[in-house]
Amino acid sequence: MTLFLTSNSDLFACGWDGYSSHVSSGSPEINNLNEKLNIRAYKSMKYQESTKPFYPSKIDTERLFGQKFLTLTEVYCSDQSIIFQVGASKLYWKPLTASKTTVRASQTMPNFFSPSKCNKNAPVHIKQLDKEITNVLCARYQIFVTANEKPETKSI
Amino acid sequence: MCLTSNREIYSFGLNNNGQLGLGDTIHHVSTPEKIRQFTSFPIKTIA
Repeated sequence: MTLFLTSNSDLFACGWDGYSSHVSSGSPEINNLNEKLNIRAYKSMKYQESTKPFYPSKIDTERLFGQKFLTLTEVYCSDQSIIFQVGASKLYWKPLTASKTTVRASQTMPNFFSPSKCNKNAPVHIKQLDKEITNVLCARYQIFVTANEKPETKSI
Repeated sequence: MCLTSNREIYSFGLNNNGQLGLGDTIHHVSTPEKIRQFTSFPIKTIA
């Protein structure tokens, strides 16, 4: 899957989203997935192949997150997950492959995720990393983050 | 996929699932092609 983020925080996506290997066949699993990721173009992909539907589709991020973010600042993705950066210091994680990634993430990062949280469709907020993010590398099942501690606020 | 300093996007490579955003699923694209959809949207990040 390829993600495109505009300077206005609009998010577009195209390609395979990782839940099923049959995206272009328009299988029922895909229709189910479309609801989850809210990539509307996938819904009728089977019927629109001849009219070239494979352009990037705008994602309703408000629906995806369950709240409106005005400052979706960065997106990172691998073949297994998407990391959304909101503002300067908040990271959200969403697995792309349904069960394996969920299980593995909950095993390797037990402080961050529980299976019940991972199974939700909305991206998971990684609260432990609420720091000033300087760089993120999203590899297959790994997320590498460099961050600064938040500067102390002092009242004068 | 390449993002130029003019905010133009060119994509090439494997396209079996439409991941190049060119509007089709031609199996692979060997010459970089511009994604024209974003001419009016300034893209800042590709992932």
